[in-house]
Amino acid sequence: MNMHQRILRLLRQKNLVIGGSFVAIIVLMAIFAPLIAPFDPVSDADLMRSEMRPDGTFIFGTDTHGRDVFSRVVYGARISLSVGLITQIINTFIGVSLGLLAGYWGGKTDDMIMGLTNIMLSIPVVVFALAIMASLGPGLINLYIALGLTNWSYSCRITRAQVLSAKKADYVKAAHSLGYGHIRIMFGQIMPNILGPVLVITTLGAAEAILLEAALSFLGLGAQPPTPSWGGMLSSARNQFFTAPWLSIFPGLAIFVTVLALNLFGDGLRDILDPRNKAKNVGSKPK
Amino acid sequence: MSKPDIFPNPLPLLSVKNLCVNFGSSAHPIRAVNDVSLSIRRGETLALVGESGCGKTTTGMAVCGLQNLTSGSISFDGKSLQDDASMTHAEQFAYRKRIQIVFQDPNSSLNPRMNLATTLEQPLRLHGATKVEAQQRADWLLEKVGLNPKHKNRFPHEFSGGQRQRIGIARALALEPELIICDEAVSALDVSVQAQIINLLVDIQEEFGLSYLFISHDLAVVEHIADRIAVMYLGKIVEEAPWDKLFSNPQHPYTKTLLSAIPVPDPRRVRPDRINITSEIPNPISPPSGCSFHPRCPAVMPQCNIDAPKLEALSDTHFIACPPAVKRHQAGGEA
Amino acid sequence: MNEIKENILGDIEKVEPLLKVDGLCVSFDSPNGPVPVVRDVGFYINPGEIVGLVGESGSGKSVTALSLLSLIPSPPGHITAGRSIFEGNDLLKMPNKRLRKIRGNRISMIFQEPMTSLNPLMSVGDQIAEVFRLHVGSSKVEAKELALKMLKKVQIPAPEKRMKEFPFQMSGGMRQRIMIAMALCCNPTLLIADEPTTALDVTIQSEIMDLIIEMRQEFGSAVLMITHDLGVIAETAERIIVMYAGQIVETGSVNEIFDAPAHPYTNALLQSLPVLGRRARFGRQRLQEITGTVPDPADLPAGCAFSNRCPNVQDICKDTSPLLNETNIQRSVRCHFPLTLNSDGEA
Repeated sequence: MNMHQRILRLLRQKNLVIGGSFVAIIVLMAIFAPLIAPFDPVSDADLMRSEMRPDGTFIFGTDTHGRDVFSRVVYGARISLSVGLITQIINTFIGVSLGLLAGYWGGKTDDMIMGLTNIMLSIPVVVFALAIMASLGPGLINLYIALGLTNWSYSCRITRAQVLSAKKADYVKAAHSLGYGHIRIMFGQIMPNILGPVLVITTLGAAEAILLEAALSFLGLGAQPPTPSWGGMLSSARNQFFTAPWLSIFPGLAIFVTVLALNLFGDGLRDILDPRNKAKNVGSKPK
Repeated sequence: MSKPDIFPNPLPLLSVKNLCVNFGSSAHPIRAVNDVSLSIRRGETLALVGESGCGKTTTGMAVCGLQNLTSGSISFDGKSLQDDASMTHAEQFAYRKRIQIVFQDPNSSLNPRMNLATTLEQPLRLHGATKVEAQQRADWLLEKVGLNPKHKNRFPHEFSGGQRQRIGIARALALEPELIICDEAVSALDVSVQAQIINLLVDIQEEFGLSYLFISHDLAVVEHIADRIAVMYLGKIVEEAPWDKLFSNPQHPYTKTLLSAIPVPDPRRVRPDRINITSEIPNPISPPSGCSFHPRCPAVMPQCNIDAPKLEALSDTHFIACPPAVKRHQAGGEA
Repeated sequence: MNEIKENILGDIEKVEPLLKVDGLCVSFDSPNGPVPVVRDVGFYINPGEIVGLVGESGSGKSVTALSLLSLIPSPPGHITAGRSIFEGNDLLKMPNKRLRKIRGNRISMIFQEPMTSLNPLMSVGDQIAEVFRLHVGSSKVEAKELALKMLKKVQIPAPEKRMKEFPFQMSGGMRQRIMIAMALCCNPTLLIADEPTTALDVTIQSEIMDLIIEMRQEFGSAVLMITHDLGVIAETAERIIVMYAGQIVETGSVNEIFDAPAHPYTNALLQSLPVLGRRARFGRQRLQEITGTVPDPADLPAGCAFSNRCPNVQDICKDTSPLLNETNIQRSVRCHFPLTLNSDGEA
């Protein structure tokens, strides 16, 4: 299959294309926030223009302190995406390492890690994150830590399941007889074959983390004012919901679009990475 | 061991003595391999045949160190391959590479995320070759197995089943092994491709003086390729003989049954009366007492369910584990 | 068995075929457009005869068989043309409801892996009884009795005990017997067997082959035996259809095909097989290889599909597809330069 056909095949995945374009737009928005936002999200406060309706200058209106809501939403993408990215790096690192260990060594190691995973799964993530935040105190860094430590069980389970099937493959046996060590087999032979499903879980997990960040910020535990975070903006807009609905609608919409885009993107990735979807081999025996 | 060492001098390349491999709990073990002894000389092909679940693959895996032994010993070129003090880790590492394996399923035997170059060059680099040496050797290997070295950057899915099996053979050859275990190496291939791979295996054996442990259920292929054949049934070797003797003059009732059951692509052949065995292969969890073939044996004798038969020599190369057949043979009734 | 063979071959011209397939074309959707997997396949099966459909993986043999009963998954599969006349009706145009009455009743199928074709949560006795209740309309008690009778017919030891067992408690050979029992419940006039012995051990395989032949005698069903194993074909079939790359390349009686193959592919296939006893007679000879691999159906060679592997290839083969030339009703070959074609068949 040449490059051209490959790209065509990717483009046929609607989820991937729609989700991917939105994710790309949001990422660009976060990177180029200073160029896109017409005002500074924090210092351009002016109580004279407090809670103005959306108009030509302030397309999303202004908040209680007279700051441009659009600029704050644009900058808020930085917080949300950084939460999604950093927590998922921590989650995936923990999940994949533990999953690799559990799946590869089996036995007691496996029992212990799976026990821990099951405990993690049985505690609601919000409650766990709340507990960590309560002990560490509010703040963005602590939020990364809290969300990073709580949501690795899925990637751990997925990794373990993939390792279990991959380690029975003949190419792993061949690697053993070629004299490969365990570490080399784990990371060189098995790891590349499990990255696909892990990537999917990571993308979906990022969406979940962004939602959680919003929830925790809403409760006042996340990024502290005046940092522009979507959840924090929602939280402070609570009392003006009826008098100035644009304060809640636009950050809410931003969260909705980001989470939806990441989920679509994750689903699309799953569709192209799942080997079963490639199995439309012509002439293969239909079951 | 009732079987004398048939190749006292020179030493066999591989010598497996009283190999046992159990699966499952130690209280109710499944005896997948039960007291198997065999040896392979340099340049020789020993075929291990039997039906699924007879322990032939487990034996092969044990020989190349992919399966832990329950008891018994495997020695290669005069040295034991077990974890004992006589060999350092580095020596074991060096010994291991002299035994390689070719698998049945060309789809799962190659890492789908690795291109040909990595598959072949990485093990060479691991064993001390420089980058250039590894590249040159990989090209040479690919030519040896009939592939174009220009395709080195391709991934396994870009090759057909037969080509993938060639890659698997090239990988097995990479470290200059002396013994290659072929685990059903041609069984999963298309009929029209099978002959190519069989010929390739024969060619490289002649060129490099390789020994094969050829594990297969296909007796027609085995007859073509083997020097000696060991027939396994429920974890034990029941008959072992040079290929011509085994096919022309099988002695064990199970071997006879097996030979009579092979469909031959010749419609005019008058088929030897098929020996019908009614019951199924017994469950290896609770094998029958005595000879494990006795419930299916067409020539069963009263004492067969009491004593487990041992391999006995009919001649210096022909062994069977069936006392009644040995008696018949000694009485001169057959052969 | 040989007597039957002769009889059927003798009567061949007079009988109305039980199944007649004409111009069957099947294609599968792929990311790069539809791919033809079965191309203009036509054959017939007479009542009571065993016809072997031979081919390698990807030759379209299984798809052909499944298409006859509209059993190919759609999408991605589509039957794009053709007729399949069974007892006077075209199966491919039949509404699903009527087709269901024929499946498992007039035509039954057995598959390679009986485990996936049996319901794992139902005792085998109940599963067989269900067929009788569904297609024959027997009462519960009657169906049980009939099921027991079927188990006895397929020579299952201790059938009363086996009735209550579940598929996972049985060995592969036993499960295949159960599948055959189920397939024969309604006394089908045609039994389609798709690689019925491929997953089984040699000793079990020979028993299942014998059983299929015996059952044919007892029930008088015609059998379409699909396999890649030329040994199995030689020992069971009376007439052979050879498929390559979605097309029929050669047909003939079993003796004609094995004695004097006319298509270079059939010939090469027979030459390339290691045959039991050959080494003892002639010493170890190098096996005849067929170069290359089975072509990708999405990327077939122009002209004859075998042209890129054929030892006798000529210029015309590379650009013109040969037609299937019939010498007589049962002998045909798709080749510009057939090897030997004796019109009288018996070489």
